[in-house]
Amino acid sequence: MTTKIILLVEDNADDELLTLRALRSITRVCPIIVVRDGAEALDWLYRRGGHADRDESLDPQLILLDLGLPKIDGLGVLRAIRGDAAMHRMPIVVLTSSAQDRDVVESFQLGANSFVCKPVGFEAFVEAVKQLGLYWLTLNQTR
Amino acid sequence: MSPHDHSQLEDRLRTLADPMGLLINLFVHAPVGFAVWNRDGSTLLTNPAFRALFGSEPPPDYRVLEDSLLREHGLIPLIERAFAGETVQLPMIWFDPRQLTNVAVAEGKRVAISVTLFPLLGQAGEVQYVGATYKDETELRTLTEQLMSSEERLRLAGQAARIGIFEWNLTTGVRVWSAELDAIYGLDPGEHAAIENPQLLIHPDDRATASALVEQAMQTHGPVEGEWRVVWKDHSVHTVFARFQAFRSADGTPTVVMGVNLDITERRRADAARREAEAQSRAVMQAALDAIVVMDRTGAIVDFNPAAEQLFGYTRAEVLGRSLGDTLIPPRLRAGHAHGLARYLTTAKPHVLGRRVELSGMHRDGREFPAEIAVVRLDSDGDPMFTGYIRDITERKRAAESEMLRRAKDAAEAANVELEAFSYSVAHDLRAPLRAMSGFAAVLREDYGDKLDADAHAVIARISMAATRMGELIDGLLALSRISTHELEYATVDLGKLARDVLAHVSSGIDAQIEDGLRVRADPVLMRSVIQNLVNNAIKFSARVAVPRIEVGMTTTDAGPTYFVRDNGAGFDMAYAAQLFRPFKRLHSSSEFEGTGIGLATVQRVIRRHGGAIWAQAAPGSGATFFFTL
Repeated sequence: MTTKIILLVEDNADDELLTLRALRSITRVCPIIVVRDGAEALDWLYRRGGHADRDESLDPQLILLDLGLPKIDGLGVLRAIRGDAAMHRMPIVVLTSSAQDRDVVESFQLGANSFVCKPVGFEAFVEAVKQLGLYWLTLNQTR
Repeated sequence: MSPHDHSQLEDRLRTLADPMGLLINLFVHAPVGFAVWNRDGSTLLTNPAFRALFGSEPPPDYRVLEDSLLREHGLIPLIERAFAGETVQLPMIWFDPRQLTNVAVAEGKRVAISVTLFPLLGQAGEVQYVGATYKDETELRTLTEQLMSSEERLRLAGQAARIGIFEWNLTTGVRVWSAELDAIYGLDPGEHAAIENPQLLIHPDDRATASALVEQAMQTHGPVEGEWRVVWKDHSVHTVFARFQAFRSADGTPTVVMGVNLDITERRRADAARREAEAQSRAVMQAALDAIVVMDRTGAIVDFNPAAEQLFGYTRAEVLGRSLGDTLIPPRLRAGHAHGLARYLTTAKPHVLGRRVELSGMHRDGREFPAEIAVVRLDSDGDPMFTGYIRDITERKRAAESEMLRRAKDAAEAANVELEAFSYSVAHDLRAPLRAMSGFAAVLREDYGDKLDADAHAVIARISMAATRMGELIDGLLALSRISTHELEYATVDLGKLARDVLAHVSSGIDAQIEDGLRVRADPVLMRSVIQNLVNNAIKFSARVAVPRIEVGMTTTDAGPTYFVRDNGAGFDMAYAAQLFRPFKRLHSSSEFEGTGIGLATVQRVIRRHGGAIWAQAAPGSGATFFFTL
């Protein structure tokens, strides 16, 4: 029996809290696991390093990936996941505070499924994240 | 005189009427001095010529002569030898009659005398007297000496000048060569005597020339001259200049050829070297890429090479002799040139000389150009000559400028890279706290809304709005910075259409007058933001007017086709016009008209990137017009 979860990769505590809050309705059905940098995200996914002992039954349905991350940045994580045959179909939504072309283009080139620019206005952010999360979760469940 | 002669003379004299008179006359008038001395040294007879010679009266006896002068010549023993029966000759003696102490001296001059002493025999055959003839040979001696000394001088001169002298007696075949001539032909002194055929000393190629010249000398009366090469024993080749003449006998037959030879090898070599140097410098001047202009001490142009013709537009013939200052130097620099030349000539203090300097030259058509000039002084026959090497450095200057531009561009690109990094960081890092502010304000409102009063809700709203506004400012800044990094892509842009698009989004009630055909070549994306900003400004600032009117059109100004956006809104005080286009500078408070203060800065940056200009015209309450060119 596996437990479906969402993996949130976010180094900013404020953004983490606000994202969790925006997804409050979703977390009731799908818990969110938070990791704080790119390296940790990969450790968690591959059950190694500090996450070697993590619960094997946790089955990520969606990765919400911030781009500006310590150690390995979001694009590095994207590259790693898309380069792995076992995980390359994992839905990944890129979350970033920048709408700069470079990020958008590169994220899509690296195989991001979607891209969300974190708006300053909280309501818009909540809405964007909620929609995306639901969309991808739903899509994944019907797959 | 033999006894036979003696008796013959006696017989002859006896036939005369007055033999004694004849002998006396002979003695008195002979142009040769006669003296007859007794054994005791006293004088028996002297003739007038003798006395004239010694300038004395009465005549000195020989002992007086001996005492005074002749002792050094050993006269007494000679006279004694004559008394012993011998005829003695003193070929030539010099004496100065003034030195005769007991005789009056007629003239203070040296005389040369040849003296012959002879015994005069008595009847018994014994020596009775000694006779003497004194012949004045001063003139002959002087002539001989002069001749000798002139020959000597000639010889010395020939030696000093290294002139070889020769004489060729055609009758006898005898050749006379001076030692210098031997040297000229590479022979040891006197060696020429052993040379069978002197022609063989001459270079084979020049023998015909030499023969022809000799032939010519034989045919003509004057001197002939020519040159030939001679080959020395060491095989070295020397050039000889010859000048000679044939001298003829009375019937015109050449008898002697005389002349001189001169070794001119060095002179020829120097000539050749000089010609070569001249040819070289001429060739250098001709071929030089730099303009070369030579000026004399008066400032006149004395040489002008083809590169100079090209550079200055004058032909060589046109400028030769003309003042360099008045032709090649721009009028504003002429006084300095003249002053510098004059100062150098008087004080020898060079200013330009020996250095590379940048100056301006002037083309014939009056155009000035930057030039690099190096001047050297190369004197000609002791006169100062100034040779200027002039290079047009227009291209170099241009290259240096474009190098500067390139560096500026590189610097700008580096700055752009930095700016991009900066805006990236702004986008990421400045926004995160803003999100937290507005996010947690929202959390507060959602979770604790029912526990807060209206004032608290107002405070929360202000926090949200401030965060939102700062987000907008950041967006504006990023947009502004992106204009600098945006690559311009030109296309035809219809400014009127862009304006209408903007106006279509606002409620009606605006009197919009937009010209048709406002088409420009510009970057469509950036021009859209220009028109958006300008038209939105016009809408914003005319919003409080009863009938807002917005015009978009084109006019012509000094700057060419000029586009404008005009409104009849609030306008502004032109005193602050300079601040209009600075980021974050606002001429109205946020409470009057909201805005980030970045719009016009963005517009200006776009216009400038297109190479255009933007300016405004306004008055408070009378609307504003923004003009721009592209």
